[in-house]
Amino acid sequence: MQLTEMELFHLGEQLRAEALAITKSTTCARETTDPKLQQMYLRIAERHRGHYEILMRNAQNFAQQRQF
Amino acid sequence: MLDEKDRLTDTLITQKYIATGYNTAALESANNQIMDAFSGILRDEQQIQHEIFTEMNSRGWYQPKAANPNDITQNINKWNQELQRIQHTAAIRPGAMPQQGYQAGMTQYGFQTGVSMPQMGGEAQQQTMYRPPQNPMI
Repeated sequence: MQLTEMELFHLGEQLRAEALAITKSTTCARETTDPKLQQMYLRIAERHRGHYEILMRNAQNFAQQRQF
Repeated sequence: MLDEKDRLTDTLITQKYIATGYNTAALESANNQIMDAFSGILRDEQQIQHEIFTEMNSRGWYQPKAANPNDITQNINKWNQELQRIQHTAAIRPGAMPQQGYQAGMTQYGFQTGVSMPQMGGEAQQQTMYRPPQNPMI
């Protein structure tokens, strides 16, 4: 089954949100003076980065399917 | 400049926003592969959100008020009455044949103040209260 317009829309929306979350978490990690919170923000940024990659991989899978 | 509490609150709100987006995305997916991807990430977003909440809670920055035990009792009684009303309505539905069809076991929760809620598969009083007809068109 081909990717629907709605799925493409949500992929874009969630990619935008994940990108912002990565930036925010990284900024929080830089600004906090609490070492425990700094580690937590860095971990969260990394998890959002993982989500971004999953979304991109899924989008690319559908783009490749279309070529064949 | 934001203080520690502001930063955690902002991160918490961001998490809620992102999780809501994934929930909607999963609900509106046609492809299983995409739906599973959205659902899987949603679970991880919920876990991140809970981690932030726990951190705020431990610092006294987000402490939800406990429900009044009397309110819990009153609500459970009300919900049980509503369940009985729904079952009664279903039983008298025109064309319904309660004696036939598959058996749908529904749990009626008996609640007593000071007694813990029944555990799954434990003390729950299982009663077959409504059996949908085999053919609702009849």
